[in-house]
Amino acid sequence: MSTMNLEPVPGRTDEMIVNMGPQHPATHGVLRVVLGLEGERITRAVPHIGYLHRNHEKIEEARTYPMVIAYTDRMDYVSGTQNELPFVLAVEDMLGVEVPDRAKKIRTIFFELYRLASHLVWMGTAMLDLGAISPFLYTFWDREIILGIVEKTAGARMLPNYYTFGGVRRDVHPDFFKDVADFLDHMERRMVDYEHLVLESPVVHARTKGVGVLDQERAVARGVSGPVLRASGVAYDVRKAFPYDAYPDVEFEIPTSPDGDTYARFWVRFQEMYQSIRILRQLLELTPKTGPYKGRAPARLKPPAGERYRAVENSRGELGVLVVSDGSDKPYRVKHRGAAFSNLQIIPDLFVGAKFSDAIAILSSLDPVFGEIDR
Amino acid sequence: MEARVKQERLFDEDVYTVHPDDYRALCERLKAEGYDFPRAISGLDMGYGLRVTLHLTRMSDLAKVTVRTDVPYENPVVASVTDLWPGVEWYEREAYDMLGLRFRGHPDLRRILLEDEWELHPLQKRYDTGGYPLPDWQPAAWPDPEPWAPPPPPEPEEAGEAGEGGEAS
Amino acid sequence: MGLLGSDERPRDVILGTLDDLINMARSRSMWPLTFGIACCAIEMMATWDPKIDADRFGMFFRNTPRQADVMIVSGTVNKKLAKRLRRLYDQMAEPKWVISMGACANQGGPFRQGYSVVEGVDKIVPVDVYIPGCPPRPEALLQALLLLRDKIADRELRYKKPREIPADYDVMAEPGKDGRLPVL
Ligand code: SF4
Repeated sequence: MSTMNLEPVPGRTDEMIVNMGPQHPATHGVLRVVLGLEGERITRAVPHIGYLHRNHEKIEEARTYPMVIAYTDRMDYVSGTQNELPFVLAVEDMLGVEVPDRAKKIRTIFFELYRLASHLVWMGTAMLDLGAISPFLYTFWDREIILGIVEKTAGARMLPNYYTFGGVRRDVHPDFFKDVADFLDHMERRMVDYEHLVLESPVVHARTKGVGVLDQERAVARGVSGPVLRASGVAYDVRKAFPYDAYPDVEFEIPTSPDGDTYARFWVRFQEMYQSIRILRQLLELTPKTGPYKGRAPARLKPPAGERYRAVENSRGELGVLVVSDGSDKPYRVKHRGAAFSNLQIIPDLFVGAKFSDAIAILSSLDPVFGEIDR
Repeated sequence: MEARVKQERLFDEDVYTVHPDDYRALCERLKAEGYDFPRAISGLDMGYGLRVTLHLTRMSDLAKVTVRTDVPYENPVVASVTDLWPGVEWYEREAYDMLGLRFRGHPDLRRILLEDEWELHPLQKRYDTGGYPLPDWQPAAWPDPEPWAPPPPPEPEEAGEAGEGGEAS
Repeated sequence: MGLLGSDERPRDVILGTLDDLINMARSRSMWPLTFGIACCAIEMMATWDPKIDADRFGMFFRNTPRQADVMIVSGTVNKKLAKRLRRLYDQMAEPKWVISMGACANQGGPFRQGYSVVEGVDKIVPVDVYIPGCPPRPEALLQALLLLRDKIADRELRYKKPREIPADYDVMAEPGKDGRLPVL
């Protein structure tokens, strides 16, 4: 096809040009990569995105502020409410809305629950890519439990549209805290199994150790964030760097690994799941069972003219949003900074020189989600 | 140069508004000051012109800056900063794709989200959500005196160079 | 057994049309194509998880369109993807069926009227079952699959497309509002 954007080198007959995607079971969506292959080794890689471009940013300009929240949900669709938070925080900053303490804590509980859900999806699909089917069956079972908890309170499973300016839309279900505590007990037992299934699996070791090494300087300059950046040894986490919501009140660590390879990225995600459990345990202690769940936000949402960039640490990294207001009830411009978008830029760096089957492992360690990359 | 940079403090960020000709020089200065983490490049349609907003973080002390520069619709050319921060490569391509901003010196300025054949830069305010031109859209007057007087019309050789990336329609 | 030659019919034979037999076989082994597009794809995966477990109905994902019978369009189809989707559909062997999953695939969903979104996948491929919802629950997808199963079992053997759509149909050339062509 003319849109391969990878022309054969004249006189070079040992290179084969292969198209991978957009329908490929291991691309986690609709990524297309055009690869130059020399035997099994990748010589060139050109990623193509945009197969899920759904004019998020244009359509958000034509929607009022509360309506935009529903759209942000659909960006990183694996991690639900996490996407709503940067937009909500930015508009709250512009409006000067006070958020009650309890609402902040509830938001953070949901945030961390979705981090667990997202990492579980990652674990299942990454192991599918590596050829193991059973982890998928376990992780999706656990994810269903999280979604059940969310559904009881928010009314929807995946895209709950639950946060709002000044807090959350409705109070949590009476069973909520007990459900979460039960789930954490279950999850702690399950983590032992997952360590056996994934981190200690000799197949995973063989396929990920020393594969796709990303060094620290390149990672920072490339704008990579989240677990991918921390696996390269940079302890940058928006939760600690620019704390938001209830994160100043809880204790947790930022797991980092100096290796920068695919295994390190797997390992860092695992450690993050432990930290999420730890954060959730503390929040269950700290959150009052009853109290206000929503602050006073003006009924007619018209933030004063100006702009605000806010970021949160979602499951994939720094998810930011730049909201520009012109004083009307619709945002003038909403620009999303996608964590997976930035992370995916390193594909050519990591793919070139790797074996073709390693490319699959590298891609699954980046954990792309195309709703947010293509927007 | 100092006369053409306005610095203000907005929430927790330093915001520089700069003349497009000085944008690259300011970015080089910021790079030398240790701002190493490119967060994003946002393109904006201001109604009178296009705006590039570059968001940077310094990893050592977590200082944040934002650099803005405005260019007119007729000549939306800004220097690329891809060589300073490789992480903005796709953001610049996205800004070109969505708004028609052209980055001088970008290694591979192609459309990223839409297909190459498209001529539309959909995030410009002259189009409605469906990508149809709004009949009564008129560019606003360039604000006076801020940010800056519009840069002079394009030099002939600059226009030729910019023409490679396709004209804004 | 001597069924055809003799006039005596053994007791363990059921007579029926060949149509029924083949349709039953088809309806009990619908193999969908692994093609997740957007948010709905995650719910599609959840339909094959241990809780809903669509595997028990004999439905297994196939990674190549040439082995698949059912295409589940699970998400927003934009103009860039439309050609690829149509090509995947053309690569599938007949008979083939399409399930349109979610508001986006049905008519554009929340992104309807956007410049890049195809307002309904039935503009590109003929659709057999539509599932409402954003995203539909896994149970809804399962019900759609079972509906499709009944539909296959009931139909005539000779495969008929619900609506013929030419393979070279171009979404980009579709006139939009007031008959104007979009600026591309
Ligand atoms: S219908 Fe809703 S959940 Fe499904 S792809 Fe569209 S936006 Fe996503």
